[in-house]
Amino acid sequence: MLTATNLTAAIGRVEILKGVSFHVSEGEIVTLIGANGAGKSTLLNVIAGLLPPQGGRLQLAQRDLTRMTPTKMVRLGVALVPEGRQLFSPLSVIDNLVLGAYTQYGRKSKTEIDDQLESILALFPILRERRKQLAGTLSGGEQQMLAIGRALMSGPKLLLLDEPSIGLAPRIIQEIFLTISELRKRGMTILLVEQNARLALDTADRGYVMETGQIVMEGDCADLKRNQEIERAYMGKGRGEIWE
Amino acid sequence: MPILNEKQECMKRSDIQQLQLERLQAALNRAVRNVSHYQQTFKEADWLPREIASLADLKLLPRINRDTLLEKQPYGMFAVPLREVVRLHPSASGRCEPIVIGHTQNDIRVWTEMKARGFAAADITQNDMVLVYLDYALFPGAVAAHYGVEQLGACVTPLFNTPIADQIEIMRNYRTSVLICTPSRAVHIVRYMQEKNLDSKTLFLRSVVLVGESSSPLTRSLIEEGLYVDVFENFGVSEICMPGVAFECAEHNGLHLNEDHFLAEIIDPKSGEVAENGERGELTITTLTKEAFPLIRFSTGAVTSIDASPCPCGRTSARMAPVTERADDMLIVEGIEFSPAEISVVLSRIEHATANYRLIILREETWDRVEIEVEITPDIFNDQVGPLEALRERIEEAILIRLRFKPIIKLVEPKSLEGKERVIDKRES
Repeated sequence: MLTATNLTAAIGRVEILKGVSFHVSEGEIVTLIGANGAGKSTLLNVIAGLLPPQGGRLQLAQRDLTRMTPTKMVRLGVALVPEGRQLFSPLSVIDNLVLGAYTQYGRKSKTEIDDQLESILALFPILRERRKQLAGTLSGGEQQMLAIGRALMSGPKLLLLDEPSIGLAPRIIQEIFLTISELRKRGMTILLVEQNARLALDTADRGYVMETGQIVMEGDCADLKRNQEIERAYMGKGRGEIWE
Repeated sequence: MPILNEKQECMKRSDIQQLQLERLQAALNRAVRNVSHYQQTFKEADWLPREIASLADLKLLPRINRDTLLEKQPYGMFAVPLREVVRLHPSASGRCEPIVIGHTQNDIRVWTEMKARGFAAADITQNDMVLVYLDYALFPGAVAAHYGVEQLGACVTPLFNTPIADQIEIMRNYRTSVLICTPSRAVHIVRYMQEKNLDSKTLFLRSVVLVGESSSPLTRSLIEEGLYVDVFENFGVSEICMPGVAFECAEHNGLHLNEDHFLAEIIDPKSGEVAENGERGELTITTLTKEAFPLIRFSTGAVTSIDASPCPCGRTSARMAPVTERADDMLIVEGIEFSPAEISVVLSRIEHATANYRLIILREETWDRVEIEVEITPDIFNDQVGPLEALRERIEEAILIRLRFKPIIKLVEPKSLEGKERVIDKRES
């Protein structure tokens, strides 16, 4: 579905992505794990069209996306749930959700959008309870659900999730990840960036490991979990040094 | 015939190439970070791993061969700390010491799946009784084949160093439906049954999977007709996984390469350049997922060609032609690889022996044997049998230690081998 080859990108003069190739097939959850500063979020920003790449190629279903604007990307079915939620705090839950569908206005009928809103409220019952509340007054977990719900309102084919677990209590994190699995069951394709490697590898089908702007490993999550280098570096399993 | 991993084996060509590129780039990044030799390679070639932007760019990097691996013995080419290595296999280097190859848990798992894919293509199912007749100590493929059969849920009987009559009896009693062995062993069974007037229809054999050596069409038809079986060949490289690189499907039109784990190139022996699709040349392999012992552009010595056209079996992976010649001088007898050069080295270290020798590979009743005729120096050449017998034993032992097989040694007069061919292979005649 989404294919990237040799993507490079810089922020200012600092080169962040140094030739990244990866792909996400339809119906898959693919995770991108790596330490802070590896370039994971930058990669998502490039895919979402927020940061133009310097080189390489990005294709969505054979269509070249390399120089697309964010609005176009959303229209093509790519939605980003940004790190730190980025909600419209002074607006109500419902308004936040409805704003997520703004690229759909004039294209879809109001009933269609209402149906979509309804299905999202069914997925996140807590949002229905709090639909009149201001987004800024929600708890962290509820805000994250709202951010995902808002992204879903644009009717995406590919959902980009940037650190959905950040700053949340373990129980809430589990709930969020259950939702992610639920979305996949409904046929959504997901690219998940996550620092919590164990959780990400438990949820996703395939994964890429990023280090200083480069991919250093690719594989099925089951294989990556068994890789001892990943265990050591990202899952905090240190062992006595025998020979290094 | 069932396809074990349809997702990987039946990918679109463009998807395979994308996956190969992703894995190649990741493998290069890892190799450069963890193996000083590859770090040096990139430095000398003045390339960065990230500049390998397509599969074709791989040709910018130099190739490596067994000599490279030998220089770094034993652990210089390992990309992981030793405690992550769960298995070591010494492999014949064609020189004087074996090369030690390491595998992590994931490497073993991948290798097992490669074997299982090949066996599934040979229609082995959980209803089969499989007899693995391979040397579990000397031939790394024995354990791999064993694991592969078990992964499919079939029942495996490991066997080695058993007289042929007993093996046939076991196969009959246990109702063995699939035999996994070297081509030479299968031929021996056929010959033995013919000689003893045994009817191979009293066996329950359905197919024979050949590993360890390549087989000629003649050998194959001998086995097929002699045992009333379907024959499948498996191919491997002992420095990577032996076997496990490629396997034959029921269409019998070449060996499917496991392209999601290995990147194969064919190198034109004359120009040293990458050959076009379909041309013959030396098989060069880059491992894409190996953790412990990654190889970048390793010259395997096997001469073959690659055909990427679709196969009626449904698999989309490219197919290599069976290997019938080698670009190097490696010989494979009973699955054990060695080079005549190794014998020269061994002989040169023994007093009264000369490096003038002749190798004859014989097909004996139950086993292929290597006979070595060695010229001796004139000073020991006299009527006394004692010293000559001692010398013969010394040579035999030295070769056993170095090359891990026991040859038949014949001492011959000085200068009697001059002008004669050095290697005579009598297996096909």
